[in-house]
Order: sequence, then C-alpha cells, then structure tokens
Amino acid sequence: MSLTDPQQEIAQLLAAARRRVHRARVAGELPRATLRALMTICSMAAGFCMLRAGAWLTDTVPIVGWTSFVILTIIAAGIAAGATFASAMRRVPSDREVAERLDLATADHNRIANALALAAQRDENAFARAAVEDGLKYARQLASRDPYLDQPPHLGRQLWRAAGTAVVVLVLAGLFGERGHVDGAGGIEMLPQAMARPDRRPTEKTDDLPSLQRRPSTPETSSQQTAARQTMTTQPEGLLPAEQEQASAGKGGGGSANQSNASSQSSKGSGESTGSSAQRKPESAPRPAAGKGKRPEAKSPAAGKPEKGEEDSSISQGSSGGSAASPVQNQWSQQTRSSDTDQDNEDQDDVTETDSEHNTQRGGVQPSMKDRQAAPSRELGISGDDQGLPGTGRGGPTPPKKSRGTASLVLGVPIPDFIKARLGPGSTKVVHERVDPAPVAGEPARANPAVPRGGPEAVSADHRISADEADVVRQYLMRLHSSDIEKKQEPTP
Amino acid sequence: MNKTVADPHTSSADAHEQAAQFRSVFDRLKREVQKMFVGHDDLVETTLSVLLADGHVLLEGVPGLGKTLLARTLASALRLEFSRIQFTPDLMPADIIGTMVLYEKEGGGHELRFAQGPLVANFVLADEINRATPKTQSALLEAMQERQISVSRNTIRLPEPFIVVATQNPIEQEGTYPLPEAQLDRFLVKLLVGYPEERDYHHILERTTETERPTIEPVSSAEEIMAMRRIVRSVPVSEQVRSYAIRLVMATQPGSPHAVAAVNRAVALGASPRGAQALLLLGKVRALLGGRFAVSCQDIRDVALPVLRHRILLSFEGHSEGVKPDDLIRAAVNSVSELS
Repeated sequence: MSLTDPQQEIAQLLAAARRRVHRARVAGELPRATLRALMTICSMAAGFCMLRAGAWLTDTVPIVGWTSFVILTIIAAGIAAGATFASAMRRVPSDREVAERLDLATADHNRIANALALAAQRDENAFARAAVEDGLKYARQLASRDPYLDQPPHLGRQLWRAAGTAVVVLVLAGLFGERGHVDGAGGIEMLPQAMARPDRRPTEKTDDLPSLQRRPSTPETSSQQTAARQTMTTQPEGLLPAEQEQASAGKGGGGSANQSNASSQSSKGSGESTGSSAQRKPESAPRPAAGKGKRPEAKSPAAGKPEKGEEDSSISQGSSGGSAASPVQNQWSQQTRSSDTDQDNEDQDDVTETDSEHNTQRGGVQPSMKDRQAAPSRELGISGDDQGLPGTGRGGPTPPKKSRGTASLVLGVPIPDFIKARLGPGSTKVVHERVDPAPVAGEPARANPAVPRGGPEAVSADHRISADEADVVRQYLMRLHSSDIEKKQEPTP
Repeated sequence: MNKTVADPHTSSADAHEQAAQFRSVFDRLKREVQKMFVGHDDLVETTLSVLLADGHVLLEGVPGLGKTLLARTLASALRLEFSRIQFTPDLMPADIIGTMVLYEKEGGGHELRFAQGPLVANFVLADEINRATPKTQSALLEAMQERQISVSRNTIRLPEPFIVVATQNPIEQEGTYPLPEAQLDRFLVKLLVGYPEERDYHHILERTTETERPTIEPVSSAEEIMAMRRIVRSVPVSEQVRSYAIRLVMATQPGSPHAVAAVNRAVALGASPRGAQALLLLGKVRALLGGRFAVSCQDIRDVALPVLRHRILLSFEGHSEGVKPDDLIRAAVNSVSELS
C-alpha cells in the first residue's frame, strides 16, 4: 500500500482556507490601523501644541510651522497604519492554524488538525494512521468550507475616543498654527499678538522690550507693539515704589523666592523693580545657596513656603503671637536661630561675603544683612525679645519666661507641682491568730417555696440567626481570612 | 514524498478492528449492567469508561440511589475477583490491607504469616468510604496509585486489573468524614448519582419488587479488560489537544495565566497533573466509543466535569459564596480556546 505524503496533501487542501484566513486577518487589522493612525495624529498634534506653547513661553521662534505639521502628521499616520497592515500581511497562517480553524468551523472533533499533526509526527501507530486517513478524507470534503475566523477587534469605543481626541487636539493645533504667520519655508513664524498673555505685559515691564525689538515686525502688528511698548514703559512711572512692589509680589510669576527678594528690596527702597529680567533671573537661582552659605537646604524650604516660616516664628514666640512680625523678620530669625556653633560662625562670615557680593550685583551697595541681627546678650533663654523676634539661642534680651511642656497647653487645669504623701510610713506588721470557730446563736435559714418567675423568658430555644447576623459573621470571617485570600490572589511568578 | 506502509500490524485496518472490538466489549458490559441498574446511562458509560481507562471511580449520592448496586452489578458482569469493604467508623487500616498473624507450624513452633485483607482483589467495592476515618481511608492511597500494598517489610503487588469503586454520601450527611485531598485525587472521576427519572421508576420497581430478579452473567474477563486498556492507551493525542487539556487543567489553578477570575477568587487548590492524565485517558475512551482514532478537544470537554470536579478545592471565600466546582469548570471550559 502506497501513500502520498498526507501532510502535503492536507496542506494543499487547506490552501484556499489559508488564503481566506490571511485575507480576513489583514482586513481585521483595519480598525487597529485606524486607531494607531488616530493616536499618531493625536501625538503629533500634541507635540505641535507643546512646541508652540514652548516657543510662546520662551519668546522664541517656533521650529515647526503649520504646513510642516500637516505634512508630517499625514506621513506619520500613514506609516503607523501601514506598519499595522504590513505586520498582518507578514503573518501568513500556518497549515496547523488553518486546520484548527477549519475544525473549529465544522466542530467535528479536530479531525483535520489531528490528521495533520499525526502525519507530521510520522507515527507508526495503527490508530495514528487511521486518524490521518480519516482526517484526509474529511479535509477533501471540507476543502471549500469557510474556516473559523476571528472576529475583528471591537475597537469602536476606542476609535471614537481617539477620533474625538484627535479632533480636539487638531483644533488646538489649528488655533496655534493658523494665528501665526507662516513664511515661505514653513518653519519660522511670528508669535501672534492675540495669543500674547494680557497679564504678562505690565508685569514684565521693560523685560520684553529687547525680545520684541528682536522680532521681525510685520505691518499689522507694529502699531500694536508700539502701543504696548508705550504702555509698558509708562506704567512703572505712574506707580509708587510701594505699589510696584505690591504688584510684583501679587503677580506670583516670580515665585516665592522673588517675593522675598521684593520684600527685602522694598525695605531698602532701592527701586529694584525697574531692573531687567535678564538681570533678575540669574540672581534668583543661586540666591538660596549663596545666601545661606553651607546650608542651602535649610533656607530653600523656608523661602518656598512662607506660611511655614510664619508658623515657626509663632511657635518660637510662644503665645505672644508671631503673626505681627513681618516675614522678613521671621526668615531672618530662622537663619540666625540655626547658627549656634563655631561652624556657624564661619558660615556667617561666608554669608556676609556672599551677601555683600549679591548686594553689589543688585545694582549698588546694599546695607549688610548682618546689621539686622540683634546684639547678643549673655542671658540664656529659648524665646525672643520683646519685639517679637524669636530667640537665637545665644542670649540677648528675652521676654519673661513662659511655662513650657504639655501641661501648659491645657488651659484652665491647675497642675500641682508637688505630691502629697506621708514621709516614712514604716513597715506593716501582720499577725496571724488561730481562733476556733464558735457557734453563734440565731435562727436557721428557712427555705422559701419555689414560685414561677415573672417576666419574659430570657433564653430562646431558636438558635437560628438572622440574615443580618449571618452577614456580619461572614464579613468578620472574610476579614479574618483576608490575608489568605490576598496571598492566594497574588499571581505566581 | 512517498511512504510505504510495510508492517501490516500497524495498518489502519488494525485500528478499525481494535476499535470495533473495544466498542463491542463496552456495549456488552453496558447491556449487562443495565439489566440490573436502570437509568443513568451516562453514569454507567462513564463508570465502564473508567474501568477501561485504568482508573478508579468515586460515586457520590444520597442513600438509596443505587450506588452500591451499580458497583456490585459491574463486578458481577466481570469475571474478576471481587471484594467488598464496608467502611465503618471503627474500621482500621489493617482491616483493609491485612496484617501479620501468628500461625502454628505443623512440626511445632510458630511463625508470622501475612493474612491479606480485602484490598487484595481485582475489583474492590469501598462502600460508604467516607464513613471511615481519614486514617483508614488513607490505607487505599498506595494501592490506588501504585497497585501495591506495603505491610511491614513486605510489598505485595495487587492483581491486574485493579479497580476501586467507592461510594460515599455527601459530606453534609451525619457521620461522614471528608476524604483527604490526596485520596480524592487518585479517583479518575467523581460521579454524582442523582434521582432517577419518572419512567425509570417503573422499571426499578418492576425489577426489584417482583418475584423474578434479573441475574447478571460475567461477560468479560481480566485478560479482556487488560487488552481493552492497551487499546485505549494506543489512541494518539495531537499536540493541540494535549495543550488544550493542559490549559484546561491550569485554568482551574488560581494564579495561573489561564485561570478565570472566578477561579482566582474561589479556588484554593486546582487540579493536579493527574487531572490532565485523567482527561486524556478518559478522552481516549470517548474517542474510541465515538468511532474516532484520535482524541479531540470535544472529548476533553465532555469528560472535564467528572474528572476535575473533585480535584478543585474551594477557598473559604468560595465556600462562603456557595460556589460549586462544576460552575468553575464550566467557566474554565468556556474561557480556554481550542486554538493552540
């Protein structure tokens, strides 16, 4: 008996089914490819928006123009979708997979797949041969049958979501892109005047003037720029120094470090607010490190959180209320309070030097910050002086000492500072005396007749528990075994 | 590429002949059993399948449903050495396995001889197995898995074929002990015996309450059963079906990549590799009975419930939620794909 190779014969019979499976697989990738294309569009548009926003914030010329963005986005989306399709095209279904899918479609005991697998094994077993013959016969009958095909992935909701996101991000990108001017190269654009922050112009004062002057001016924006320039140059003159200081402190654009700068500078009355941002930016960054000397970490949180500084000062001042003290005093008190060793003396020297340097950099000789320190006294105390300054730990004028400890926090509770006791009570003597029991005359106790007890029966014969109680017991036991359940649910490595 | 089949003993005609012989023996046994045991065709078929797949059967049901009758009838239909052990709370392992007994020699003196217990037989009916303590139940462990018993320093091989058919009442019944997991795992299937249908009641009453009772004749021998077992083992299993059975077993194990959420939540211990062995063995019998020569995924699905239900140990959460192992197995069957 001679047989052609059944494996090859089955493979030939499955050729049509394989083509169908392959085609369906490629077609099934359409939603996924669309989704990837949409996600690529979203990513590109988001990147475009970020580039535009970055350029706007830094007052630089944007790198990518609207035309370039559209072209790049189309290319990227096409690549994403094409890669998805190419991946599906490359995955040609194997004979085994096609056989399994054909068996699934016919639901007849995996005859074709079994025959293919057993034929590939070259099993000499009689049952294997019979199974191969059976499968071959079956495959001939079902060669034209449609195999089982995977349902295309249900990406409807994701597709809608991605499409919506893409539309939103594209609109944003359009807002950024269409309002700008695109030159012939499609790369360099002018920051649109309408997109400029209305609250930024007056606060930056003359800072933006150089950058604005650097920009290539256009006919339609030159008049607005001129007007804005006039507004910016005239506004600081109309403000008093205190108002300028208040305005700069209220902006919040400079951060809390600038706040402290502004307040310290306002006390000096130096007219610092007219300085350019180019001068201020490098100054504000090294200040925490330079101003504190070797302890930059101690100052930066205090500078960043003025509320905490106030809180610290109020604690150090006890119940006298530290809120009346100015922030300058509080911050300075923290600096001085933390310097209580010889090492700190050296630090202070550094602080003096760096302060003087910074004072020079700020546009003139400034009063030394060290002058603000109160004269030390030799009386040790934990609190500050009468003016509300917290103590330095190094002495100096101190307010009357306040009670300390937890007891002092409990208001209205008198706490005695002594304990009443007897002095030397002596030892206790116990004497055991043996006494024989003696009868005591009296009436014997009488038994009372048993009477039925009144009132409701206390014991119930029904031991069943209610559903609520059962639920409580169950919850209790579940909680009791929760650790076992959690252990069980942990995936095996 | 041409391939010549030289050996006539391995031709497919032999497979057809052997399969036909297998079905013939099976049908003969089934008819004989059904003379006495009415209804529950699937129960009878599965019990016979386990006999031919070289396994053991655990029958569970409330009293009066014919569990013992089924086992006794099957034993009567086979020309095998039959032994019945009635499990009681005071039964000891030595009562099952056997013990060393002091004998008087003919020429004088004494010697210790092994007096074998009822376990040394071809067909052992362990009636109401969960009425004995787990200690006594454990005496069956070695016999069921390794087909041998060890007493003192002696190891005794049990005769082939060896099958244990155990009956038990549901654990909720009074006076029952749960079977240890190790023992449960040694049963190829656990079959639930339910109430018969209305039409079956008529036959039951006719056969049991009238003067003539059907007699069961032995229709198969030990040699024939062993030959059938060899046929079963020669049925091939493709890699697709094997991996399907493996994935199905793993789907009952909490924490495995194939486990469904319900299994992760409600199962403490899933089926062991013995479960996969049992699936394939019983699947082979089903393939032969279906006139096929290789096991299919459908065969595995068909036997999944009786094979896996006693191998799934519910967690506390599963018990408290009233989860049934059969529901978990159905969920696992639905979740595991045939495609490899």
